[in-house]
Amino acid sequence: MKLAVNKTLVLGLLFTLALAMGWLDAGPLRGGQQEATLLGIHAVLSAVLVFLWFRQDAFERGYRTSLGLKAGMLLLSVLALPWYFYRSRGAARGTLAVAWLVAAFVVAMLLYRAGTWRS
Amino acid sequence: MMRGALLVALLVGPWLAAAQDQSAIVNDVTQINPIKVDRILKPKSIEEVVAAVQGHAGPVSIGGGRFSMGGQTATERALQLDMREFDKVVAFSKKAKEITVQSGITWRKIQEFIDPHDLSLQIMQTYANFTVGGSLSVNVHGRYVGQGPLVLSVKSIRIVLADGTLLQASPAENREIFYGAIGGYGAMGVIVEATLALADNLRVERKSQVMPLAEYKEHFFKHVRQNPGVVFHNADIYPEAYDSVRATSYLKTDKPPTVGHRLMPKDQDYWLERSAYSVISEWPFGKAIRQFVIDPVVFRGERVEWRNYEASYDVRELEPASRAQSTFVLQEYFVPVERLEEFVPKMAEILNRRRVNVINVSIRHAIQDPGTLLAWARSEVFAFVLYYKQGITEADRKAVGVWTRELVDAAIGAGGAYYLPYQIHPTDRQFHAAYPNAKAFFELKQKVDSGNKFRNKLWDAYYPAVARKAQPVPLAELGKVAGYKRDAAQTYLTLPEWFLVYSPDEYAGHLKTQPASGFPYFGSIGQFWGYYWDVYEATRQKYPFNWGYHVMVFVIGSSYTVENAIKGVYENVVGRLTEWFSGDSRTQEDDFGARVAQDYVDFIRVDPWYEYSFARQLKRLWRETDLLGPNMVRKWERKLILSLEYAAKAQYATLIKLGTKAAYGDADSEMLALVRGLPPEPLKNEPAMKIVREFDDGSTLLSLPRYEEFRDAVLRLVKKGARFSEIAGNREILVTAIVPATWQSDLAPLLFERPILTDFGRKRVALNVPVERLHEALNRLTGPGLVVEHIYDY
Repeated sequence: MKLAVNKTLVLGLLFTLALAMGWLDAGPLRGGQQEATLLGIHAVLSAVLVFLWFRQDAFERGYRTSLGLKAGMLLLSVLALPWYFYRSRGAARGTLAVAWLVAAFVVAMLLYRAGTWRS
Repeated sequence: MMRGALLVALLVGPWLAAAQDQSAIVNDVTQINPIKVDRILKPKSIEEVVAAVQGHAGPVSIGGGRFSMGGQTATERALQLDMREFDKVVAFSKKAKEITVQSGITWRKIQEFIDPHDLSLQIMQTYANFTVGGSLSVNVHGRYVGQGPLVLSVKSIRIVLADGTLLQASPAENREIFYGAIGGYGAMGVIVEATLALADNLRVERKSQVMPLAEYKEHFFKHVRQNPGVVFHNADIYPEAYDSVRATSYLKTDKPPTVGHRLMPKDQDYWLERSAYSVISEWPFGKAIRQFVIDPVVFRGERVEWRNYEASYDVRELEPASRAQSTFVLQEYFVPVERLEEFVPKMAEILNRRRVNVINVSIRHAIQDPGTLLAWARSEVFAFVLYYKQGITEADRKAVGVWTRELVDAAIGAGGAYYLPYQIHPTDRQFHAAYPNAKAFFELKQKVDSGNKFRNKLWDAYYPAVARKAQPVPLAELGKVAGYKRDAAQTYLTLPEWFLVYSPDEYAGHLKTQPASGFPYFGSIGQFWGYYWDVYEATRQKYPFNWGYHVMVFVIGSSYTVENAIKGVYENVVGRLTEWFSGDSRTQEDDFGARVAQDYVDFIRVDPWYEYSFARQLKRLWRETDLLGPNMVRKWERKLILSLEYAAKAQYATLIKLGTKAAYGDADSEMLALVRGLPPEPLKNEPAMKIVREFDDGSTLLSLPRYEEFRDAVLRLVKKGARFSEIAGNREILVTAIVPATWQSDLAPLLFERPILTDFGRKRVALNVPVERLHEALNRLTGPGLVVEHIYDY
């Protein structure tokens, strides 16, 4: 059974996560191993959310995902996402999607930066 | 709940006693220092103590509860005097406010005796399970304001010396013995009685506040030190930021107690406290949970209690559920009050860099010691009580030894000292630097115990008569020393790995002044495989083919090739274009990239590359560089490409880390080498080196750090006159050096030489050096334009 996921919601969660991580990073969890653990959690949660977004997107497009792509999306999404965009959308729309990916990344990092302003 | 960490000296642990008696194995609360003693005797009178000391031909050790943490209560083949049943009150005067007790009595038992008389002990440590004798031997301190070492509350002691003499000592009578025995860790004799000063048992009210560490010293001197109403005080530094403290004081009050008991109830199970320690030490963000959840709950509301209640804590609240895999351990450092801000950042840096699982660091205060020979408070000091968790394996202990010696150096560097009841990691040099009167102490011991009857692990380590005695171990036995012999081929095979340090080093150097596009990415790829071919040629006839290592080199070489190829293409197309837009000026991001490149190189000289936190650098990039500024095209191009690089490397490093841990486990952190010609005090200022054994022929087996630190250690030893006989059981070792391009080698067989791609005026030479001639080669490679790049430690 395929569990439907709202892609906009996932994107929103990614942005919220970035904001929250900024706040925690500069505040209660700053320094030492706590910061490293926080980074790890951020990475895992981000990977899961990116995977959920990818899975839903592939489902909506009827794109058959291989095991390798799924693993790549979980473990090396920085490279796997652009690859998926080109494969699922073709060169032109894939390039546009990559541009949106870059924009989303920039927004996430800006929100992270905003989160750190409390300190 | 936290109440700061504690001073643990020789505590009574009745629950341990029976089992230890039967096996004659003495251990301490950490359970990592088992010592087999000849016999355990539990004296009940002074006469029994005298008879035991006179009658036993071998060493005598003295133990209370065996809660010191480095074998300070025993040594092999000793008669151990277990003093816990020597625990009577001998005399008491309410009017004079003094009490005389046998030394095996616990502080708790004294409290039970004096509490009905509305009296308290003037000075004691936080926990009441200690024996008085043990506390005297380590000269404890507590949380009392305006007080200091325990010796300040001791009116007199009676001590049994090595010849059986029973001596009375006080600041006025036999003062040399008094100040030698208190804080003397059982070296002078058996303290059998002590007369202690008492104080009034008052009601105290707790006041607690959190503040930045930077404000603490002023707070302490303004509101605590000068306030006669403050009885107890300590401040807990919150790990792992180490920049804020919870300062807690207990002030005299007339308010009615909110705590019903006059003394802490005995035999509580402390499940809540133990659970809290488990959360703090084991849970993700346990430290933050403590700081922002547990402590605010613990310190909420008004609390008024009796002084004796606050002084009667039970160490069982700290006992973990199991010590089978890990154990809770203490350390303590003392720093002159004016140097608090100097010491704490150094301590924090070491603890975070070494990833120490710190549960708490408690700041205490002590006034100057009145004259004990092993005084830890040579001036007014702040004490830093470090409570942490460590594993119990040999590797864990070695790792603790390294950072302990670093912390000791930090304390000594701030004019301070470290405390002696804990694991005996500090070197002889550090001991004497922290305790400058140790020479006088040992002279006194020689005078009163010329036969070295009173021994334990602490004095076995530092007392010159024992510590420097050479061991008659034949050299042939070396091969049996664990970890001594390493695969000889590894000295060559590790070179390609090290190229992955040299190349980023060149890259970092290049980025400091040049744009990224000018780096020879493709030439570096060629050099990597060239070096690999060189070492393959050097080893293929001589050594069995090491499949595992070659596969690993292929994996890292392929990654390096792909990364450099992509960067080479990108930087020479897009990079050059945005450089053209920005002219000659560098953006914040260019500088940030250069700093990270250098930071990365510095990191991988010591640790595996995949441990480097690229994710942290990604976040820093977005936090520390402006969003707007000059050369916006170049600025944002760099911001994005560096983000992509750090993000990709963060994910890739995680993958490699998982794979590497699964395949290889953790690498050794030390290297053993056989050395001749060491000067006196060879390891002065060498916290990472350790003498493992000394042999009759003058050779010494040294434990040296690995990797880059190995090179530095070898160079320093050679400079001091040391000569190497074997390194890791091998007689040949690979050395690379950076030399002028015109330099010709006549030192040792030249394995190869290749140009430095970013500086064609220099070249890298690889020499196959016999270990016996290593000093010659290194001395010849010291000079203008010559740099010993690395010594390949197998």
